[in-house]
Order: sequence, then structure tokens, then C-alpha cells
Amino acid sequence: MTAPAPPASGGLAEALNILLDKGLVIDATIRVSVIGIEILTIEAKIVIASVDTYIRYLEAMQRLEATRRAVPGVVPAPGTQGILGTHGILPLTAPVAAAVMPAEHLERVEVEAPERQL
Amino acid sequence: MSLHLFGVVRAAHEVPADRNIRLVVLDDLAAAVREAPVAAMPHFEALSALVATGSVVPVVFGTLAESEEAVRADVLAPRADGLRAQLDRLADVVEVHVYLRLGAWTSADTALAPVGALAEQVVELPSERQEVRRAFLVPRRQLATARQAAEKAGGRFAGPLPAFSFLDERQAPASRWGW
Repeated sequence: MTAPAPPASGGLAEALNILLDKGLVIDATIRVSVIGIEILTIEAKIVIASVDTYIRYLEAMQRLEATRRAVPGVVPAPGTQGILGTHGILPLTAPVAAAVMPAEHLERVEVEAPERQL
Repeated sequence: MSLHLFGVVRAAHEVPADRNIRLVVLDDLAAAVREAPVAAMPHFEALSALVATGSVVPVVFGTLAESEEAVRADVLAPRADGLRAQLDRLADVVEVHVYLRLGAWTSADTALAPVGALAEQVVELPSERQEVRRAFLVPRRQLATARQAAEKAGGRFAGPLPAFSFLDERQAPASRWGW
């Protein structure tokens, strides 16, 4: 039996664009996390997807690290942190937003925030 | 230590030596993992290298596990039978892609018929403008023949790839964010 030829890297980059969001999805648990990837970003540019993805990795690793050190149950479940449910260095109420938005609007956003997590 | 997951293979799978990939074994199944996270392209290249030596059920890109124990308990054990069935189904076939730019009087079906004749299954992939993109599930031993047929038709060929396009529907992502 002959060994299969290695994939041509040009074609592989194109295939990556199409396939990167596919594959077996493990339901996220406290010990396994899945970092989703915005499909539109991938379509637009592989390079951006890679860098962006790498940042997400680092953030998720920090979270996993925190999980291991913390008492089980204390660390928030995926999707309950940050802007649009991302995990990262940006706090829930970013200082920039606070400076731009009127105070009453900001308060309302804060009140509504828990509902959007559903 | 966080483990970056590539996919599920048989415990006896021959792992490429040069990519820092190792197997976390549970009975006859194993998850191919790496200590440090990798970016999209190296991830995809490693998966394709794994496919070259046997059946792989790819895990969605961006899956991290806290420990080997978590891989066994949360990834392999809960769906062991389903994984075995998928690995069996993909044992002798690999996914390949053909991208064909259409001319004014080219029919993709006619041009790609020789590739299609080799394939067990064919899936139309999302494409843009004047291009047809198709995924074919072809027998491993027909890989070279498929490549020749695709290139003869004027198409660009990529493969062997992990069989992303031919996984069970139930295991497709629930949302674009994957959670």
C-alpha cells in the first residue's frame, strides 16, 4: 500500500476556510471548554482568524487555570462573562462605554445584562 | 496544563512524530492532544497528517481540556460507541476537496464526473461566484487517482482531509459559536 501524498498547502488553506467551524462538538463542561470561532471572520481572512483564535485560546487557558485553582462551582460557566458572552480581559462594563453613554442608559444596560445571558 | 484536542482516533493509531501530538487512551479509543494550543492552520495540518495514517473523528477547532482525566471522562467515555461507529465508517475512506472555476461552457457535473465515480458520497460546499466546491469521500487507495482526475478536469485538489463534511449530523455544531 502506498502512502498517501501530503496535501498541497495551497488547497489546504482553502479547505480550512470551509471546514474550520466543523467537527465533533464536546458539550462544554467545567473541565472542557470550546472556544467558538466567528465564521464570518474566517471567511474574511485566515490570518485574522488565527490571531484572534490564539487570543481566545490564551483567555480560555487562563480560565481553565483559574478553574483548577478555585473551588469547583465558583468559576462562572461558559457564556456568562464579558461582552456578548466572551471570556477575556474586558470587564462587563468597559470604562470606555461608561464615558460615552449617558448614566441612565448605562444603568439600564446593567439591569438588562443578566437576561441576555439566557 | 491545558490540552489542545485534535480529534478521536483508535488507540493503535500511528501518530506523526514531529508535531508534539500524543494520545490519551481509553480502552480502544484515544484522543490526539497537544500540550500547548495551536493556531488554526497548524491545527488543520496536524489533523490532515493524522488522517494520512488512519481514521480520525475531528473535534471542532478550539476545544481545550483541563487534564487527561477530563479528556477520558468528558470527551471519550460519554460517546464511546458513537465514536467507534464513526471511526469504523471512516476507516477506508478520506475526504478530498475539488475546487473548480467555471468557464462559460463548463458543466461542473460533467467535468467532475470522473472524481464522482470514485466517491462513496459527495457534498456540495459553500462557494462563491464562478466556482464550484465539492467534497468527495473517496477510498484511501484511490487518493492518487482522485487527484489526477481532479487536476485533469482543471480543478484544484486538497486532500486527504479529515472527514469534516461527512460526520454524523447529530455531531454538527449547534451554533456558530460552538456552545
